[in-house]
Amino acid sequence: MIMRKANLFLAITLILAGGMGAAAQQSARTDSFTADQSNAGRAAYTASCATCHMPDLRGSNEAAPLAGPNFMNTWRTRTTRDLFNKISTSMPPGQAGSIAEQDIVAIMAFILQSNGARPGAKPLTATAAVGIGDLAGGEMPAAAKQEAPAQAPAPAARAARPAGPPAGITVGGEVKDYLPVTDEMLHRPDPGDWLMIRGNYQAWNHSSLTQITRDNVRDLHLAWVWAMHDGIAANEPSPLVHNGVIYLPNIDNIVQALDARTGDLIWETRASSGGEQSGGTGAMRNLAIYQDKIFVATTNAHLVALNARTGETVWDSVIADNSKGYGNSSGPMVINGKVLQGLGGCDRYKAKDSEQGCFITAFDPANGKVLWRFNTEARAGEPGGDTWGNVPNMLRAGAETWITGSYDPELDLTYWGVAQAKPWVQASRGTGAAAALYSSATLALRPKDGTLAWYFQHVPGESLDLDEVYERVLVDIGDRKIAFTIGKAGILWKLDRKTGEFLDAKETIFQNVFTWLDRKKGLLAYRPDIIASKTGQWIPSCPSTEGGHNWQAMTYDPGTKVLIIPLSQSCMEMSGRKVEFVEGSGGTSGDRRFYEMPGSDGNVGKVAAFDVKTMKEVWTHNQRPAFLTSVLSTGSGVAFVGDLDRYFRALDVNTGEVLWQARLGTSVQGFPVSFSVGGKQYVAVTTGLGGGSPRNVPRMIEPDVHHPQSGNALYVFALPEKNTSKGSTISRNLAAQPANH
Amino acid sequence: MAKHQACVLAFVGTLILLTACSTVAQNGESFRARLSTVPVDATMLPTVAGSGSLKAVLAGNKLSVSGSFEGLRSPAIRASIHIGPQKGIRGPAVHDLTVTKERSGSISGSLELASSEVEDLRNGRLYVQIDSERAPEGNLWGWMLR
Repeated sequence: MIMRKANLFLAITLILAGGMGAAAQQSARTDSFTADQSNAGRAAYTASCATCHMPDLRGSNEAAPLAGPNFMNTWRTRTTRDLFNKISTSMPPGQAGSIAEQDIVAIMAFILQSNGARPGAKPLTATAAVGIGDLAGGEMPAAAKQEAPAQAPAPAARAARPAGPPAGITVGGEVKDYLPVTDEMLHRPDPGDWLMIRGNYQAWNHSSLTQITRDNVRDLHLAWVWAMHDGIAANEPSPLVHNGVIYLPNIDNIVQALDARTGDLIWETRASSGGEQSGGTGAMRNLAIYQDKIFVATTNAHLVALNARTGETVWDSVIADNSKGYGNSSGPMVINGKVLQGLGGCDRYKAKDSEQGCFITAFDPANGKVLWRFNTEARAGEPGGDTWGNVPNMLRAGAETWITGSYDPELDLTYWGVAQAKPWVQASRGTGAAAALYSSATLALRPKDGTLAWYFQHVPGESLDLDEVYERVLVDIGDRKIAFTIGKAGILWKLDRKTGEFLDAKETIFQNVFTWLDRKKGLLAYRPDIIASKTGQWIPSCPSTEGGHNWQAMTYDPGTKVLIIPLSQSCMEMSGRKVEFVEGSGGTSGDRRFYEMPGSDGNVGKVAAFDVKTMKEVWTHNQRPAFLTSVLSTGSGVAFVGDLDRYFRALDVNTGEVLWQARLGTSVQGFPVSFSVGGKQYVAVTTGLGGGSPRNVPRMIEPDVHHPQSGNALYVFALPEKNTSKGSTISRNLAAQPANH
Repeated sequence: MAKHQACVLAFVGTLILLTACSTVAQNGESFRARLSTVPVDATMLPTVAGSGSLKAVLAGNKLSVSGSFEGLRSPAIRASIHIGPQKGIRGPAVHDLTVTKERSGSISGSLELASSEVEDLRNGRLYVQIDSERAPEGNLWGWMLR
């Protein structure tokens, strides 16, 4: 109780201090832009910036805040000319130069006004170099504040989106002969289907289909292609395939059902209104399917159930309040009649107790009712709550579950990776080196009630945005039940998934961040200068936030018993920003500069196979362009992977030798899948644009790799008839599937 | 017979070892570096660009460096050898090199390393950095590695 009171007092003190600080900054204002410019800027901001930086300018994930005290901390001492240079040379990411000069100036005017600067008669120009601290204080003018909604999360002027397309069916149609998906189907997927992200509960990314072989893969050709919706949001999808129908998440929460054999559109729906907020990169990686429903976790933190036959909305549940920054970039999984969904965008400080936390939530598939929630930000007074350095609950941020978990039916445990605490850098978030549970950990939860079976924290007090949130791949080695995972640091972890016991680790790329404090227990220690770093200080790190490993998932090939892992080789310097401990603050709050990894010879992309028993690297394939897809392996020893340079390749799982390649319309990005219809095996992959570090880092260090700035699409490949009509049959090798119960 | 074979093998092995040592003594230990941009963000790209490569040979404590670069946005103004605390981490300049003061050109130098610097080199802590007019705090760099 005493601790709670102390925390409450500290929180109030911090809020008051922040408010007083802001008030003290209201002194100087100079007219330096016109109201017309600001109004035009609002529209330009909405069109070009709001998807990532959010309509309220508070930022999200890697998109920095553009209003409020944290914006001023970064920009107070810089000029409007610096801001113009920043926007014109880097925004939107990957499309610098696409915003006209007058629009950039207008956006700047809107940003200035959102930070308390007053419009006047003198227009702002691109060449003006006025001190931003002389114009703005980080708070909106009183008049504008009165117009803001009472519950507005930020003092900034909101860039209310123009009324977007309404949610609902955009193309009507019906899936004929729909076959409801049962628990048994999810436990033992038909190899012709692809019923969940990464193919099975164990997250193998493996298809046991064998029609496409090492010998005939060179004959693979395009069966059909489907252009997907383009836009600013990231396209990183994993299609679902069931009974000859592909369910495809597009950007802006659009879902399509396509005939898997022909590519004909069956129905299309928009799962949420286009006028609502997004967050982060705007990505939505996957859907889930169960019984007669498709489940969509929208980027604005809703879980929506669609009628799988028609696409019509059955129910729509709020996961968390999107106006507080919450969102989703990965979708749900279904376990024994429960829809489990993680959460992103938990990086803002919220004063109200009821608005805090970051959750894995289980929903009732029938009606969207919440069945249980597990908070990944351990609160004061609760288990793990003493690991946050005594900061109040309000300042316990981050620990998102932005990658879908995996599941062991025999142990009845579901495994989730948890992201780092926010802000990224220890010195910014005020927790010191505190472990901050359950950040940067593997969680094993009981899906029945959401209780914690065990956790293993990979990096206590993570401080460089080196996520450990990615896939947990479940493999049995003899009698031992193993969970493998790998994070941005590039360390491949081997845990006993029954107990959480650390078994082994393998450094898959060069890293200079950690030393092993205790190799037998899997305990890492940061380089001393990382621990001692202060805000504003550049800290070098190999690898960078690109990873190591990122959301592009590995595969487990049961034939060769190797994990084939997409990796990246780049480094960075990171500088944590000073963060105000006030409502609405927080965020990621770091600046980064990127460089090639020493010793990589400029090869940013690496895909390598590791023996699951020995952890030794079996083969490696290095190349200049970064890999941007997960790896798919098949029952015939072929692995598929795509890259920034538009290549989609088939590799020999035994050697890494390139067996086949095709060059697609733009960067190949997403989750390749394989399925069969009418006795024919297909391989599908998406091209896509947008994203966080996996896109932003190559843009800095391999600008020589070019690709078109549009071209989101789904490509489907198959063998020609001559290959599939000579007795080569689909093998439904159920023996290769894990034994689920 | 077996003893005779063993003697022959030992003789051949010694010969190979001596030849190898002699080669190292004559040619030195070889290192190479890929020159690429220093840590950059988007705002730096208009002034920081280019690439290059170099080779370095260590004979005793004498290090000979030669290489080339191209694609700078502004003329090079200096080149130096730096020692970082670890591979991939910045450190102070400790030796000057000769560099063509153009946007492309050559880089070279011959210098005596202290014993500790030789160890640093062998442990991957030495890197070469080229500064340019518009990027005076660093434009290209590359770690000298085996």
